[in-house]
Amino acid sequence: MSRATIYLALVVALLTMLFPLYYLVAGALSSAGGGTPGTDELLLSSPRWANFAEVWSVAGFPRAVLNSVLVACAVTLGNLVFALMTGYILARRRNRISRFWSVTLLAVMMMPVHVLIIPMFVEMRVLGWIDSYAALIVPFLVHPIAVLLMRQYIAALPTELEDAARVDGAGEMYIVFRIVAPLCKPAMAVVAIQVFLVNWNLFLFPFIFTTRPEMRTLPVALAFFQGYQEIDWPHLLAASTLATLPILAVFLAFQRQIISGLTAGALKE
Amino acid sequence: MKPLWRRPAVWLVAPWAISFVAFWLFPLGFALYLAFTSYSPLGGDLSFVGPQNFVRLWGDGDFWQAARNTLLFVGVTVPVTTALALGLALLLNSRIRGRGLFRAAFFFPSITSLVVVALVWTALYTRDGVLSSVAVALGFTPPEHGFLLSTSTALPAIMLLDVWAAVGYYMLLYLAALQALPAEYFESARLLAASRWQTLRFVIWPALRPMTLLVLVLNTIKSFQVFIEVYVMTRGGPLGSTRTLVYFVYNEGLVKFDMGYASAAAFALFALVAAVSLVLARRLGFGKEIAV
Amino acid sequence: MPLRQAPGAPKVSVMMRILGGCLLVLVCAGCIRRVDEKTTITWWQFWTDSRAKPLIEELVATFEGANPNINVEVVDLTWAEGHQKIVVAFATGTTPDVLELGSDWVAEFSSKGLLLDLTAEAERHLNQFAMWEPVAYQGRIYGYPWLLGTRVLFYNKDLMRRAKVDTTQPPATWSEWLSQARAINNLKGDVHGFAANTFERHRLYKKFLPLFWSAGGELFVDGKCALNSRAGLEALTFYRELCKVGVFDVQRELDLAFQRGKIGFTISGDWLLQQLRRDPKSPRYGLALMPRADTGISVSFAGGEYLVVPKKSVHAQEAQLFIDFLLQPENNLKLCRAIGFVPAHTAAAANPYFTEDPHLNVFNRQLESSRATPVHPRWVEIEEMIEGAVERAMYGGTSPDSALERACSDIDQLLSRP
Repeated sequence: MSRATIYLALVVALLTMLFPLYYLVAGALSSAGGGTPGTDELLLSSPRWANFAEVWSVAGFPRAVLNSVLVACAVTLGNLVFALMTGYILARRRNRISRFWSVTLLAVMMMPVHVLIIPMFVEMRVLGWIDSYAALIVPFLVHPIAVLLMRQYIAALPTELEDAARVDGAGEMYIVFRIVAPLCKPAMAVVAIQVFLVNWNLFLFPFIFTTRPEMRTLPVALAFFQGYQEIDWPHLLAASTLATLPILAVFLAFQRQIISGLTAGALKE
Repeated sequence: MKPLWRRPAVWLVAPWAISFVAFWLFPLGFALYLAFTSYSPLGGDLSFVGPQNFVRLWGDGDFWQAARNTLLFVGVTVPVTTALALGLALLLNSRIRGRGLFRAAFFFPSITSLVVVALVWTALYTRDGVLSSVAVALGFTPPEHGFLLSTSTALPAIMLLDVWAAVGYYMLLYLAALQALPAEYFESARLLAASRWQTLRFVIWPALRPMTLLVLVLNTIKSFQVFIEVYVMTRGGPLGSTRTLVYFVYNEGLVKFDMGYASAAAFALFALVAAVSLVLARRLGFGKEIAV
Repeated sequence: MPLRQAPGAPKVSVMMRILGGCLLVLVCAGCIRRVDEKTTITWWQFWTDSRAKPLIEELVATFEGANPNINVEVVDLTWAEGHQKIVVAFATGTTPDVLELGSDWVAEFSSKGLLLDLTAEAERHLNQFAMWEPVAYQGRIYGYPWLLGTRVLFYNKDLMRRAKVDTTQPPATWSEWLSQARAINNLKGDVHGFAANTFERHRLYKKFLPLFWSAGGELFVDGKCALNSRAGLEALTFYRELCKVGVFDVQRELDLAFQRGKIGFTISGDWLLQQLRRDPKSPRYGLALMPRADTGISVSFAGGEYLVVPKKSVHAQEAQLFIDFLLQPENNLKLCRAIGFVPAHTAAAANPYFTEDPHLNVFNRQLESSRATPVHPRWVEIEEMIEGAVERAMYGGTSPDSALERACSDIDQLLSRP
């Protein structure tokens, strides 16, 4: 294949992949009071930036943004701590118990989650956590991918510093948090970004665990906005655009980390 | 022997252990139990009914329709996504300029929220929307009631957007695998004056087998769980043509609150996914999984 | 760098810090709920659009002003998700104090003992309101009628004129209706004869059942489903023909399309009238009674909104106060003037506002020959099966009589389940 053909194919693919996103933004800028934005709006002849501002006064949108930020941050922080702990122990102790827990990680990752939606709903109901932040945060505080990433990274670290500390009499917890953790900053960055992205976009469980509009996270709120009489397509698309902006920001700033995080676990040496 | 609670290893693994038991193992067991009961939280009564749910499932036309739709969905989107992902990765692996830009653009859709994707494509698919105009311009007649309200096009429409949303992620995996291939592979192929196609077929493809297996398994597991698009765009319609198995479980369990029945269906789906994944792994000649 | 730490001590303190942090997160998570100061009652209701909302807020404000120790928290429901949200609330014990239920939905909850028995208070008002049947169950009363509505025929005069149909003679029978709709559908341009509902729940049956009843059909005969009777076949065959000259979409889009002059005939309710009145660019339109089967009478669907109190409410007295307030004729009337429904309060409904307005009067007249669906705890599931049958026939893949057969066997099966 000549270079020209390759470029051509890539450009066609590029346009196809980016078109819906362009439509999203173009539609978000179209004038209100219509049906779905059509081909005219694609030309951006008269962009209506007010849509973005008006979306903030839609009942539930600001609150949903707040919820998403709160929950994603809490889950990310939690994961940083707990994935470090678990990753460390799985990396450093190679016995049957640690292999058992490693297998459980894989099992959770591989299994389809839908089997759990019903019992989890009942569990949350029994705990009284329906419509609470607890349901949105606690089940997600230890993500298998985070643990695997940390484990992989820590396993590659030399053990001298830890051994020295142990000889000096330091306890395990001290070693984990004062010695290993500072060395793991790159991995922690990857974990933080991964977990944040996954949690920001999470739909199924927040959808099932909430009934009140003020407890919804952004993806759930957006799904419900479709049914609201007073939100027309331009505003719905504007809200969707705003919901995607944080992802775009994180993506542009941390592309390398995201990609390395995604491919790290997948490649075998 | 130090008592358990004095051992730091126990504390270190405790968060994961608790999370695993409380939010995975226990619910899984409870789901299995529920599958053999009749339970509705509205009335509050829970009674053991043995295999009755499964018998009822067997005779439920909606369930089989959901199974058919899901299998069709998986059977089409997985190969297509995988092939496109490989194709794009191969293209990106060549020596071209601006690779980073292309890679970023192809990958970005796969990290946007599927809800946003579903909403955008709903707008694209409306009867007087952009895609209808494109179809007309290309000489096709768009379906009578719009893409999402016509029984023949609703599921394919969802398949298309699912491929669009997923391909970037798998492309990335393939790209990483390609770039990890030792240069000797390509060297020896060039020395033997192999054509591009021969290189692809006899050198690259076999070398990518592990990654292909991973991509196929991941893709299959995810595709079997298709739900968000169905919920946002079609609610299983029209006439159940987009009803998928997870949507069926959701509808029975959390809309009709017939939780025993829904759990039984969930397990049927689980068994199906496990079976297909195992067959896949076996056929690609691998009994091992990813190294632990 | 030398490490000087005593064995044991740092381990505990770090561990304790982590534990403390987790506990804090959990406690805070569980605590971030609303904190009640005075008595707050929650009211779940469906009037969320821009026309009704200000009036709802005004009513609430007036009530709170007259009752300073009661705070009313209004929660909005949408028709698309409302039913399910209500069911979830009952299932999770998170029900409000005052709840608006559609007429078809009350039996589902009253039959399970989930609603407060209001017979004692309601009996004093029996003569003041119309349509108590949906909230009556086994001799007890579980709610109050609030707003009544029905469906009538809307027709586009501009399109009729273009199709050379006499606009002073909207169709009175099915055959007239079908031929006029066909004529309009054949016009050039993006115009359709009829607005056919699809995709959404709780809409389609309100368009189909009036036709079924007009043809003389009864849903249940001797406790068994009688949808597959001759009347059912006649009604569904006709409806299918009507849909063939129509356009399929969701209610909101159909209303919008009618408003933009793209549809000849639609079956709709008061809200569309309000929408058309507010839009200076609406086409010329008219309202008429539902056309009758060629050998039947004009029948329509009678529905309404009812106010109930879930049994689990701990503020039953305040809830009753609020309901009494909403049901006062002047408040009832005020709301109806904004949203177009008819008050359930008979005195308010006799107000000249309704009787002298030519369009609103159509609703009043139609209400006289409107029927409500049977009061049945499993109505919502039955309704889904009816809608399924109609949709199958609409899309053309199934013949009307096999669609009705299947619906009847499904319904009979449902009814036989304990």
